[in-house]
Amino acid sequence: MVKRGKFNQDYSNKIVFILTIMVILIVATSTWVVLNKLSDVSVNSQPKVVSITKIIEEGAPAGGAVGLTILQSPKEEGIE
Amino acid sequence: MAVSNKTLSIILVATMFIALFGAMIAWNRINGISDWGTLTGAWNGPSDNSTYGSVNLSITSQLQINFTLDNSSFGSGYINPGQAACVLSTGLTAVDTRCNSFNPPGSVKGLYLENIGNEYANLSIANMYYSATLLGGLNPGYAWKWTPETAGNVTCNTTTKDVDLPSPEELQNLTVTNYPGEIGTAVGKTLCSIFNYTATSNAINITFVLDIPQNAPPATLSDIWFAYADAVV
Repeated sequence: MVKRGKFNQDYSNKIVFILTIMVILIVATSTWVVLNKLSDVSVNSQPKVVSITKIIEEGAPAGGAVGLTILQSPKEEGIE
Repeated sequence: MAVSNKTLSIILVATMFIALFGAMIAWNRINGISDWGTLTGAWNGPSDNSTYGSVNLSITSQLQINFTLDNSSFGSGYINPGQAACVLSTGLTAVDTRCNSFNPPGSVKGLYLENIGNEYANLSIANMYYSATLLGGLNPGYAWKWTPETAGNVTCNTTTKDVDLPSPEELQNLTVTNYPGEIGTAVGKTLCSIFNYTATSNAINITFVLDIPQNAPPATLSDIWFAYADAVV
């Protein structure tokens, strides 16, 4: 009975140890996979959210005039 | 309280299942966004009815200049007999006594150019004639002067002004080599690298002085001044 009980206790300790290792591996693996996937999301998704366009409407050239009329002077008209 | 190995084993097994279940849920949620390897964002998921919104904003501005006063007319007249020449000028109330019948703009400004838009402008100007080609005769004079509304570089930044053009307030006689419309300058010569649009600092006054020689041929004369505005880069 003593031997059997010790055997069961040793065996149980072994199972607990293996289960603990499995839990650690599973949690670590799943965490790594999920984080890896999430990092793909953050790297690849570059949303173009805001587009700002500045439009400059150009008007036509402006123009101004300078003018005068030069007449023949009376004296010149008299000579002619 | 002692915890038996059996209890620990049950807890660990439960933990494994919870961890696996959680990982599966996370995995499925992420895969629901997009396929493996081509994940480009939630809105491109081919298996999802996902959509996305974008914000588009257009800002429109006006680049517009205008000659508020666009006609500088001296009327018609002649040079009094016996006089060698006659000088007419904008901005003068008194007419040269050697001139007869002309009607200069007087105290009225010559040509008044304004930036009426809401954008800084790169301003170029051009005209068609210079002294000899406009008036003719012996030693004619056709000079111009420009005055910014606000001194310095406030109204007109002259950093890149064409060297042929005069400085502000400098009277310059137009010759074949310096007039703004000189052949080869398709859109004139640069006067202001930045022409301001701010009220009270957005105008340039252009005045003229004409020195008409006695032997200038009688004719009706006209010169056109053009102003071009480009966006400041």
